[in-house]
Amino acid sequence: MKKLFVTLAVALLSTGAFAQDKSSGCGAGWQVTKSMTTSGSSTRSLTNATFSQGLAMTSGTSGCAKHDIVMQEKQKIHYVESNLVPLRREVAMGEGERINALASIWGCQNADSLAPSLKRNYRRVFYKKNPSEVVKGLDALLAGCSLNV
Amino acid sequence: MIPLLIFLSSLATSIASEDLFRTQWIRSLHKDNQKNKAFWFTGSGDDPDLELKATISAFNAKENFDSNNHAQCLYPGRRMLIERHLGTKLFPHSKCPDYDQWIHRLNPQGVSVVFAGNYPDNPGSLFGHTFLKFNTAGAAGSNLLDYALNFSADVRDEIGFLYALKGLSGGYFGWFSLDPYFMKVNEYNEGEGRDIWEYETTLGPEEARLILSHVWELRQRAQFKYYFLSENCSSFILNLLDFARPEWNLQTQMPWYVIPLETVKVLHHRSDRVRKTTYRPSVRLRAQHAFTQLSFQEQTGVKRILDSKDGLTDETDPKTLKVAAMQIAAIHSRKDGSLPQALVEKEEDVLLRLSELSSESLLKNNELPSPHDGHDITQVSIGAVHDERTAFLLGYRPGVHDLNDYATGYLPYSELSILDSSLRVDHKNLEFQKIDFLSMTLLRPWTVNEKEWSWGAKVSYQGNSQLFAKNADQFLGEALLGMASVTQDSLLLGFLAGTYISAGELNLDQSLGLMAQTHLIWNEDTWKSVNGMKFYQDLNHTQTDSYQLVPYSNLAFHDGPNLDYQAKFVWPVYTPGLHRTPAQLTVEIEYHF
Repeated sequence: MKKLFVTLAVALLSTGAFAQDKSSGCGAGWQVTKSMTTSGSSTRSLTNATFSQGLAMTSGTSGCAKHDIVMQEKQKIHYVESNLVPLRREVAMGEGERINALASIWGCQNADSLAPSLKRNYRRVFYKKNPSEVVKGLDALLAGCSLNV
Repeated sequence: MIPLLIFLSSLATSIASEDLFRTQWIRSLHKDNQKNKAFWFTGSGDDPDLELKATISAFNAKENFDSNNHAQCLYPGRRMLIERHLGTKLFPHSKCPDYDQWIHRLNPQGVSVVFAGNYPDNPGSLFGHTFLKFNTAGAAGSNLLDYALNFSADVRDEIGFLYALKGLSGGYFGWFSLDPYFMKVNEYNEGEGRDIWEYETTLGPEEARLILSHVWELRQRAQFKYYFLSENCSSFILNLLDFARPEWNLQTQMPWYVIPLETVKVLHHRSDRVRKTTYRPSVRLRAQHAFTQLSFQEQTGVKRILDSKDGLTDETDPKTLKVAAMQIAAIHSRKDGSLPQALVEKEEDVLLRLSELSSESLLKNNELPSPHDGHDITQVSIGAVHDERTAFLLGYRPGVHDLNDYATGYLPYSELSILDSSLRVDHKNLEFQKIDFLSMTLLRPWTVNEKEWSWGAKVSYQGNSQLFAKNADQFLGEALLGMASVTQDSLLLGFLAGTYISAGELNLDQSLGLMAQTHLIWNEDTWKSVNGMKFYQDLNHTQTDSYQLVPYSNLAFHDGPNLDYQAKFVWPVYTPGLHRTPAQLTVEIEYHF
């Protein structure tokens, strides 16, 4: 009874609030994931679908969450595409956590020395470049890294 | 029950292990909330013993052995449990190409519970959001390459009332998603301006792996209804943690509703559960903070860059450029990622110039008080009220936070109060003083850089309402929109205007009109003073007075987050000169738990 009462009251009163929800996640336990986030949908094709294949058949969740762990061979482009805006900001500033993660993906041992070198090459690698151009630029710049691994 | 014990006693390595297995096994079956009968080999989760036998027999099947469709590959969580506790001799271990690759790539080392703070643009998120993070052996100095597991409702196109009603009554199914953690950080920190706290639990690699393998099997066959209040993102997290570490029994420590903030507290309050807390301020907060660290001259420089119409100014100070870049990022987070082309180009140019200058690190952000430091959500109160007569007050509020409460851990100057009720008791009467079904307020500073509206809404039932001196029971609805400003000493001034509607038993009680409200809030660590004035203007002329002023003043002393001593003074004033209602003084002690 209490539940029903609260349900009705909250539903009635908060209709507007729910309708405006654009975020992903369940928030109050109320806020609900919009199935496709902007970054999610653009990178969907790059990720493994294995996780949800079986499920889609049985629980009606097909169309959601095809993204799963990122395929190894797509890791670089997926990372750059998802992080381009904050990544190039960090690179231009010469510091940031996304540079460390980038170092790991490109197999660079020394993330600390990577930041200044990326900063020096900002114009060449990042300035007005799209994600695949950035990946190409990084591949060229960091070719030495993967050799060390 | 007994057969299971007999069956196990021949297999389990010790009594302790047997008990542990038994609890974990039963929890892995989700008897109460799992909706798809095909998830259980026996068609129901009622008999764990039978289900165990059926599972072991399915695991022995020759068909599909070493392929993805073998029962062992559909239920790797059950397999892991059985092998761990009952030994590896019950069935030959099948290869599972997809699962093996998946778990190998994830290679989880531990589990964190991640809390994303409130989202000012959406009142529904005043409680925050939680998800799990599986800590992989990723990059040094960064956990961005970890993986985040999110449980949420599968909602596609519903909007409005139906959406809310369906969500609250279990009309949606829940689903899991697994994403690289950087996508979540980008979504919350960058995209929505929300702060993130990570609570690294004491769960180890094997427990992390157990959870993931169990989630794999849930993804294959299980189906869960999603209830916004009770079976939501947070309750599922507790479910999974309880499965991996049965003795925590986190779920039993929750009321029937589970809100994200509370799950964080229940974890954090015990040192054996959380190893480390990490804070990630949102880009908005970082930009704000960096801006306040600048000199006046530098601040002017930042504004010049942001305001310039034609390309970049000739700014060459790296610090100014840096903060300008952060301000643009903060604007990103408000525009849902889509920036006007001119601003995108400006950002590119600012960054290019910045990259060519050497710059030092900006000052680090002061850490915000963490969500787990806030007051608990259920409130009981006892007090006395004096107006025409004196009476005792008994109050109860299931959730969550109001403007007078201890502010730490909640969105500043916000209120989300549900079913705030009080009873008035004296020697002859017992009556409702009020029930505020829902009261929401969000006061946000309107600044040059952040032009954000403040608003408030309330639906309540007032016993002996003093609105227009009716002295009768009334329903009252209010909706307000306005602006606020906050000074450096955390003094808030706000002005909101809107409309109200009131209804009672008599025709004379109906009123519809305009209203306005001012706020003056002074917030210190140990006390808080909330003052203001409400103004009602009746439009349908059913009232003898055409307008009414209600000034009020509330002073609260905080003894820690959970205990408040409060005094409130209200003095309704009518058409000038006519004071028909006595002033009302209330003193109360509030306790949160």
